[in-house]
Amino acid sequence: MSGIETTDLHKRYDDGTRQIHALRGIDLVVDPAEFIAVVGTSGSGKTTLLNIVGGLDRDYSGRVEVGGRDLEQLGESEIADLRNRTFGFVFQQFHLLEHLTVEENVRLPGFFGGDDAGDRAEQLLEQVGLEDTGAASPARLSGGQQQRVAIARALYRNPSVLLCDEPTGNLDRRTGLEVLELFGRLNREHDVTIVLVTHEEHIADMAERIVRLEAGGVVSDKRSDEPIRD
Amino acid sequence: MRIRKGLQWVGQSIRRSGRDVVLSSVGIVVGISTLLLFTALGAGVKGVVLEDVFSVRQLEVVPRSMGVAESMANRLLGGGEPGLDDDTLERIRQIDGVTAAYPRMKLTFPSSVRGGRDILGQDLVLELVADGIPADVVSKDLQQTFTVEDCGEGADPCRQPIPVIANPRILEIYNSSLKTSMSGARGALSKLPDLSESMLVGMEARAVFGRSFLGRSARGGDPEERRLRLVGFSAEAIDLGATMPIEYVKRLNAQFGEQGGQDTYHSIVVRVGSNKAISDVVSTLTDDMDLELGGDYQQARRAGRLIDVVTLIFNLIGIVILGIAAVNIMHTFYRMVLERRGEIGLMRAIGATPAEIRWLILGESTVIGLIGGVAGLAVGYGLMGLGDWIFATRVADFPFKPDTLFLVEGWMVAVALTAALVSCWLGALLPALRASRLDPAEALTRR
Repeated sequence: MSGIETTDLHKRYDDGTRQIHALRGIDLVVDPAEFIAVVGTSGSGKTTLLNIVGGLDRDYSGRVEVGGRDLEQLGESEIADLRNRTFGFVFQQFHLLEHLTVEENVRLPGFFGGDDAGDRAEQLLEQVGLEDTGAASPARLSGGQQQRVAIARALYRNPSVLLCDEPTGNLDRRTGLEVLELFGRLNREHDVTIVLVTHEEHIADMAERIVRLEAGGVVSDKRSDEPIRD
Repeated sequence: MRIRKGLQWVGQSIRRSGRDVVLSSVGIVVGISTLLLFTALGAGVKGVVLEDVFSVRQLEVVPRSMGVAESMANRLLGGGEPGLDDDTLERIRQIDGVTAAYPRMKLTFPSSVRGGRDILGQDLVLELVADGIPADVVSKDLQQTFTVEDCGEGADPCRQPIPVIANPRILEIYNSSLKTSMSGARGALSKLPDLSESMLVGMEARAVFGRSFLGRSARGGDPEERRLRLVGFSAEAIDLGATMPIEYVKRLNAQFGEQGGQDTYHSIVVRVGSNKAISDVVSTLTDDMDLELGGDYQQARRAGRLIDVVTLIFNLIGIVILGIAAVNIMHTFYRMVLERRGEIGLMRAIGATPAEIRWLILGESTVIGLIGGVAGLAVGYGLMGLGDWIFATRVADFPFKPDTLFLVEGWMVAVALTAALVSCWLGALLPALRASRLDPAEALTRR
């Protein structure tokens, strides 16, 4: 179980014409097994925050701790191991490899890292309601099914934190809600910490806590009015 | 990442990029086949020239030649011409790397030979050029006896033919050149038959020692007529002439030749165990023992160097082709990295280290190198087979015409495969580095 803590987190970069200050001193604590939504308009810095917390972006100032470990102090192999075992990533674009089958896509995290905890692909596909699609090509699945395959892949290493970047952005409303219900179930039944980045308010409302970003800063941090539905 | 999983991943990527792999391999195939073809051709031709034409691992040592002034001074001081004796022979045998050494002694007086009626239709009379070598040098390779007949007391030595051997080159020159050049001659000479060793072995001719067309022995006395019997063919025999057991030559030189001529050899043949030892043996013979090597060795060195240079030039063509193939592979991999940015970003997100990304891409290039290398070897072998077939069927026979033009050794195959792999690795190295340095966050968000 890993909690996340950022202290005075800044991110600056040059887009070729000017300096961008994407994150401006973010202080944020995410408790283990919490379901948090980070909302904001496009360019507010929410994806940048997620990338830094997930160890995908290491060019920042300030402090980021995951499970009590300062990310800045970790080497390449340690950070890779953290991404492999502690985090599961779910993206808006799914990022499924079409030359592999659904089952092979789910197994991808098993290619990297050390000892394999066993093949959980079939079990995970069953868990996300895709038990009969293991041998199929991802290209034959609907958007919602592809996102569920991506979630199964994110869960392959049994991570304690799921980092989701606009996971419903490419899905219709009903399918998006189904995916969110899946996140809710994982959070409740398996104590998986979920950090969900979205620009859609009704999606954010599904989380138990909503952090709102604007221009790289936290403008509000409150419990959701509408608790997660069973 | 475990090796098995890495290989699995590489296999999947290769299957997906089949067309790219094939196209990338073409340059490797052409480069490797060119490299193998010309290296094997160079080695094959060099082998024929050095082993068959010049026999480079067999050196012929001759007495050091003296300049005019040195020779005159030597005579004034009562010294003779430098010679090769049994003491020199024994010292040569002691040199490291020398596996055998034996003497050659030439006839030192005029002689002639008559014979050939059975085959040519008429007898030919020729000046007899002959020398002698120890019988045991060749006797075990011959079907008929090549030894000194022990006539014993009271036996008539003239009844025993002298066994002689001839060099197979004579037969090759006869069949490939002389027969053709005589086709326009008058009479039976225009229809000379093809000759083989088996047809000639056992043939006899009559030799006259001490007299020939050109002169008589300075020692005076009656010439001696003896039968000569051809008992076989050997590369150890004199190039153009007859070689007999050296005891005959010693005996005849004592009878008809210069005083004391039976005690000095005209040359000593030195066999060297390996090519590596040749330079050391040559150095000992020429520098330490003040001897000279026969012209064959110098010619062989020049010919060998010439072949090496030509082979090197052709190999450079193969290397240039491999270089172009490496550039092509680099372009292919840069494009693949660009196309797979999202995939690479995903791999980083699910736990791949930059080093693992590098190794996956280099692994793909290794497979391309192996496929290209093996295919290049196969094409190279095919071209060699074709070359040999054309050479055998379309090129007229000539002396020393080999059965194959090519010599493939294990190291050539190993070098060719290594060259294929290295060119693929060099081609893929920069794209692999670029892929491993991709910012995963950026790679995942850019479409």
